[in-house]
Amino acid sequence: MLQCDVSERPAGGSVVERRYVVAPHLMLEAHDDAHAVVVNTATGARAKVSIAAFRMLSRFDVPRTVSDVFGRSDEGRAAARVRALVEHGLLWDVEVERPAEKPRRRPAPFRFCNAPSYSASGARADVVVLGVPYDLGGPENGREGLLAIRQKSLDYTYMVDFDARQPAGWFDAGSGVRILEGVRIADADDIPWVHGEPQRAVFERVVETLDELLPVDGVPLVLAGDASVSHAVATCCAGRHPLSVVHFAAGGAAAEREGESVTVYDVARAMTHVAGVRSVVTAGLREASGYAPPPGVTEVTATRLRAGDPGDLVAHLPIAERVLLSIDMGVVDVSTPPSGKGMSLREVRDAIHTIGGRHRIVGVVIAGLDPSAPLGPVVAIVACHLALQALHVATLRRVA
Amino acid sequence: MDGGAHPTLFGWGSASTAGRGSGFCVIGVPADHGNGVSRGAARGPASVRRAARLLPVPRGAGVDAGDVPGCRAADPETVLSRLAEATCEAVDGGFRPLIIGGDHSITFAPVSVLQQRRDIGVVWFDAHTDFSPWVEGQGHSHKQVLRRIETLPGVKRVLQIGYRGLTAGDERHLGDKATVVTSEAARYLTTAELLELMPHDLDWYVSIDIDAIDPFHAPGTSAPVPDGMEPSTVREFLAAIVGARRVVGADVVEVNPRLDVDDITSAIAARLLWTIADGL
Repeated sequence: MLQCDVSERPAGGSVVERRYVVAPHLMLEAHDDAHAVVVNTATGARAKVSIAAFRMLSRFDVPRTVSDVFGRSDEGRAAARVRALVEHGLLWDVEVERPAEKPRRRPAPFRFCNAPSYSASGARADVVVLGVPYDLGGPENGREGLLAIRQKSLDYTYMVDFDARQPAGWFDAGSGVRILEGVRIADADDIPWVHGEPQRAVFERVVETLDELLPVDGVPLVLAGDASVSHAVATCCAGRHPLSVVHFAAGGAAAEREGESVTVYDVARAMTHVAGVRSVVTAGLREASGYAPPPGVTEVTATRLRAGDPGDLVAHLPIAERVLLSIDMGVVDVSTPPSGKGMSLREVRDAIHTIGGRHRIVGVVIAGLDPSAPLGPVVAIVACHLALQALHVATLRRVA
Repeated sequence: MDGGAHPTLFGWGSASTAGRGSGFCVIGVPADHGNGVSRGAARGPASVRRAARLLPVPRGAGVDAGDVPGCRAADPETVLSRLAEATCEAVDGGFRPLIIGGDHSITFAPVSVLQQRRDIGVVWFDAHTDFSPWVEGQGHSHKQVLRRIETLPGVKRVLQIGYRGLTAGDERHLGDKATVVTSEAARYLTTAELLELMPHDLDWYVSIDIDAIDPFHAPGTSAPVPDGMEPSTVREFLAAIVGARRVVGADVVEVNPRLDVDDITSAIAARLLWTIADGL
């Protein structure tokens, strides 16, 4: 946290004539008799100031000059303090033009598996978790899915070995192996999404944020409202290295585009136009989509996956390819009892391991979870398992 | 005993645990104070009894003694002591307790009573090992109940079936008395192999946490873990156990009607109890 020293400094000549106002997005977070902590909600930056400085700051709630606030007699002494507040970005000079500072990320109530916040350790993370609560690309109420996944993930607590000071990972009782041991995970909260803004703006923010946050070999885990967001993640990842996308979905995702926005119905087709994306395999369809997939898109139904060689899935990918995994949770059979029409957790997990055995998974998107749907909480747990299994496969080689 | 307003399990006659007879004596335990995850398992006995009305009467004989009084007490110890008393009465009357939970912490009571009379083994169907650390004086709960049971001197063997998921540590080794069959291993376990893990010179208590079943079959439980056992597999195992071993008591626990979908979990629980009663 910034310690803001506002002791007196020599006043410059122009300070007293200029008008100042409290910086936008500034909020009081805590205070006691001696100090106040203010936070810039756009950047997350915090500053601890004396109560005297905070009182001074409060008096510039609307644009005012130093003499407006303190009168002619005290303006000289006050000017030095005002300048200190300006230097620390807590007060803004009204006449100075500056670009509007929009928040890049919004705090999430829970961190995935209670892993450290990105701000604490993200630059050294192997996996960066980012939430994108955008769900207007599909019909489901997916914006709350991120919260449900993060909340359920608290049952799988990220822990650091006391002696080795390395992440302990988890024991996978099914396979009898420890997964994600030594893999550093950091949660970078959510991308803010202002309802009404164009999809393009949201997706650009996703790309810019991932570009900024991801270490060179870092793997993004994007928890998305719906699977259209995979387009933005593919844009970011393919911008680093050419790749293919394996998109798990219950329905075809290569329909003709009907507008500018990417939807869950056409995201596979849209991703083939992203620079650096070489092919897209849509896997787990409950039935054939009924239209001819465009060049670059292959469709593999759940029935074909179940009946055939698992290699069937990867046969459509170039050899030694980098792969972005996009998992629309609708691919999972959530009927009670299971009807066998969708894919089970086991089948999706096995498919991920098959892909990871032959290719390098460079990113994971988990999307399309409506926690209010029947069995939503159970599907959230399934999502946690799939995310951790996918990250295990994605990080296996680099940790080794 | 309470519970007069509920239908009896399988239409069996109502009876006091203090009576004499043979076969099973159903004891409902509408308590969930031992579950730190979620409330709702207290509604299990009523829901399972209702679901059992759709099943035929099993071949084995039984009576329904209603619910244990005192389950509204806020402390699990009161519930355990009342259930232990009810179990004692049922066993003294020649019955075998067939218990409907309630959360899994309650299993400590009947097992502690039964192991005082004769050495027993315990079969523990559960997605979790329930082996969290516990020290004397710490509150009793469903997370460490098997660890406490394993320390009872008359419990000679523990067979845990259904452990799965992602856990902090490897929980496949729970001590010299215990064998853990993961959910994955159980897929390939034959009934003959199962019985080999259960010495026939012991009496056996069967405890079924409904979360052993895959949550897409049985969603009504507080701590579901995906990729669980098929109901048919558990039924097959139960039929083999009651057919080839002396089962001195059994329970089904952690059915949470609050989280259920169309009472499907209660129906599965009722069917599991029916399998035990029918095979005896």
